[in-house]
Amino acid sequence: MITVTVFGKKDCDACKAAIEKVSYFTKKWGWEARTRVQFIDMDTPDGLAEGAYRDVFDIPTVILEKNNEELARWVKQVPASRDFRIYFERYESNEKHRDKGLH
Amino acid sequence: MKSPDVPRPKEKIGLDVHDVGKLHRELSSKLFKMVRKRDGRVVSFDRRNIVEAIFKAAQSVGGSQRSIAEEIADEVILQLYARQGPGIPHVEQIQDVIEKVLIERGHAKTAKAFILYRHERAKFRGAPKTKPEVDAEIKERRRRPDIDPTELALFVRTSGDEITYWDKQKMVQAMVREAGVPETIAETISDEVEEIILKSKVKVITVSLIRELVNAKLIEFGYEEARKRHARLGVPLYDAERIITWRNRENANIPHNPEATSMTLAEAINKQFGLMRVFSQDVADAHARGDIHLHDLGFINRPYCSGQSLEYVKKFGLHLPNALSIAKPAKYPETLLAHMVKFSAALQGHFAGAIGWDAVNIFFSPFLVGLSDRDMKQLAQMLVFEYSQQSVARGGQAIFSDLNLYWEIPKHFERVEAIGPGGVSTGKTYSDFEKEAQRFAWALFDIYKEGDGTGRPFFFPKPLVHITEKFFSTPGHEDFLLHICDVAAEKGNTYFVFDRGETAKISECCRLSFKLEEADLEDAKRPWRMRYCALQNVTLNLPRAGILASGNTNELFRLLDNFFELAVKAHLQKKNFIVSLLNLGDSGPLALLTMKKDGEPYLRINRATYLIGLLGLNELVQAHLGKELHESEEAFRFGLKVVAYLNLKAKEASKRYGLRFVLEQTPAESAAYRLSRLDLERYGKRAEAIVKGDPSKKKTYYTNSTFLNVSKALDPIERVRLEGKYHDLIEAGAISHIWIADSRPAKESIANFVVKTFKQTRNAQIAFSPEFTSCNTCDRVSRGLSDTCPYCGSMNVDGITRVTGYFSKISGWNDGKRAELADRFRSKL
Repeated sequence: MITVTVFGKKDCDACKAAIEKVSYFTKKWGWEARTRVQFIDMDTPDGLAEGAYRDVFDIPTVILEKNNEELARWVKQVPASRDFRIYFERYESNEKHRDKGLH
Repeated sequence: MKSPDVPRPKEKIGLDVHDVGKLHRELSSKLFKMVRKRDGRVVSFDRRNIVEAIFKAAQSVGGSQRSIAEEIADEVILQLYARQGPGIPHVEQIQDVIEKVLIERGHAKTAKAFILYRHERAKFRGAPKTKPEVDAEIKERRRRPDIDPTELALFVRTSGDEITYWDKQKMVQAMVREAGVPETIAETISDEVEEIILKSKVKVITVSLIRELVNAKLIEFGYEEARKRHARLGVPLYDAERIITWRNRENANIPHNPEATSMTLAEAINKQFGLMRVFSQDVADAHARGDIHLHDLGFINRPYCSGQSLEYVKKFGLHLPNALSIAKPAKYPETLLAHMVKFSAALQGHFAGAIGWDAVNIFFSPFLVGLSDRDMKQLAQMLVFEYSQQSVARGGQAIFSDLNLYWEIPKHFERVEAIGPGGVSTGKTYSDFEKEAQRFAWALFDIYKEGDGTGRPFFFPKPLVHITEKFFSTPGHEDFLLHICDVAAEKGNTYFVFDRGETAKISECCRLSFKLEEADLEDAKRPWRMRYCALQNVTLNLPRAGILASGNTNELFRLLDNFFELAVKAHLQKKNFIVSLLNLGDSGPLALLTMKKDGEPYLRINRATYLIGLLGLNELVQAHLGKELHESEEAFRFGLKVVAYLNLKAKEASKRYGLRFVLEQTPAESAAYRLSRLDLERYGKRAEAIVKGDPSKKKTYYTNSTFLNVSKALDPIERVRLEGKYHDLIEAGAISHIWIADSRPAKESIANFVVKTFKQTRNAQIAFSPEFTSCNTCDRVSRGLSDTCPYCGSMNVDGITRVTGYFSKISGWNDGKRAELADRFRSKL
């Protein structure tokens, strides 16, 4: 399972764009079922605390993780689809290897 | 007792005698609520006691009708009211009126019996001076205003060092003028006070005692608010003697000398004034109780601290309001240095806390062109010694001074036109003076490395080196980093301030930072405009919220809300007070801060910051979850949530009031001790379970601000990393301390640590603190703390290390800080 976490605020257009973009492409590329996209609202104590714990203070920050391991982070930017696609492809490739017992 | 001779009306006009009696009864039962007894106690007024006294006297001469006694009692009460108005009647006054009414109504026998009874009781009580005697004396005094006051043999020692004759009217005037007491009440009170004084037979009385007697009466009469306005401020003789004789340990930066004594005495009055007049009762009580801590109450008439630019002095010279002389802009570096130090001293007289200077080496640089290395070092030496030895401010303290320094020319100053000698433009930008700025910064650290004349570290000025992204791309930074790390290892002076990304700051005080916002960066184009002020610091007693919530999270946040709102209220009240002083302009006490050399007041109140201090987060979490911050991820995360919550509250309050409220790590030199003691007193075992130090000896403290427990053996980089996670939430500045004690890490190790901290953590600022023993006999300094000098064996030694954000002698520390020192885990890098 891949988790994409967008740290942002409700009134931040770039943050909304980041969520929409990630959701759109994961669906388009057929990874929707294996991807969890979540939004952390930095205007709430829990969201801000979570951001602090993970050293996030700029918005939007997008963090891509696999099994709680951080693979990539984009700070103050909406990642280009090609930039996060590589992680999905790598993940898929690993899955295939595992299926074939090669991993 | 004969029947009262009351004429009965022939026709009923409106009220018959029965109605009148009923009316009297209803009225008389409502006129007085309290009565003052002979021993001074005030008790509930009970009409039945008057009835009983009259009836007993009547019975002793054969009377039997209680109803008549009832009517007379009502008459007594009405007459008493008519005579003295509202307020608390004295039992003697009531008895006087009983006698009078009994005689007027024709009950002579009863009156006689009553008078005899009264006389016997007075004899029995053995009053030192009978009422008639006192009355006679008072009456005589009132009857003959021409009487020579010396005949009364009463003198008053005034607060103006004089002895004057007794004059009751002065009490009346003071009550009316100062406290708005109605004149009739003031007259009554002054009569009663006079009576007490005359009864006491003292020959000389002080105005302070008279005032306290009046105040006691004001309380009796129910004029509590007036009493507050009429209060007298001061310290008990016992306290004054102690202050004059013994060292003040409230603040380790205060020396022990007559200037410091004067300051401590003045602080005592300022503190009382602040709590009575600047802050409302609920805020003052919250401070006294320990829910919040109002910092620097002793400096109530000053803002908290100030950060500024040398450009102001370079451009405008030293032209201060009410100064005896005016200096034009400096033409030589030594003159500029003198202006800077003198301006610092003047500012310190107007601010309670630190006086910080931005980019000192950069703004000096146009004056340093062509200076030899020797002259450069000499100038650096002058600067450091001038600040560290100048004991002129706030009771003979050294100026709490900060020098912000850069190796590179930070982005916001790169293209700024450099002001040179004479306050005129050099026609160049500061980027053109980078070499001079770097040489000066280097020379300053040469001086810090050498220490003072005996090799001790300098306590002030504190050097804060900003590490920015550009630092790492500026040639020579590796060598400079090693140089300042060498000083950190050797003497501990260096503060490493991390300005990541686009962040720009000016730092001062123990850890305070002003993050430069858009408007500030606009000011940076004309740097003389750059000046920052924190108006006040109010700290929240976080552990108390933890104790009181008893594990209930909703209750915890409700308590935090309460404390926070009290802190905000305190800020608004302090602001109003400071603004009222500023509004006095040139003729006010803060004239210096109202000067408008660049078109704006020196203190730009609309740009001020209002600090909400945090103290004892570790103990809050411990009280709430049973674990300290470092003991579990849950505890650590909960701590973050508390700080995040308060951060958002500060933002909300900023929006609500149009003021900039921000969180700060409270240095808490005295608050950490004071609040832990208050909680121990109030909450006993519940507080004992979380306070640090030794509760049995009352040497306790709360962990400073958001720090992790100082006694825990954590890997220093891990401590810096974890503590750093809080720093972005604390916008007004944060720091982590690495206590290195007697170890002397290699400069390369410290440099690695600094780079790692910058690149791998969110920590805002770090400092390394060694410990020293300075011998007062042989003047040598050794590493580590010991009771005797390792060189000469003398026991006349001073221990030196950082108390909070600055170095000081341990002998000046309070018991809480000493307990913390004993607990500190010393790292070896």
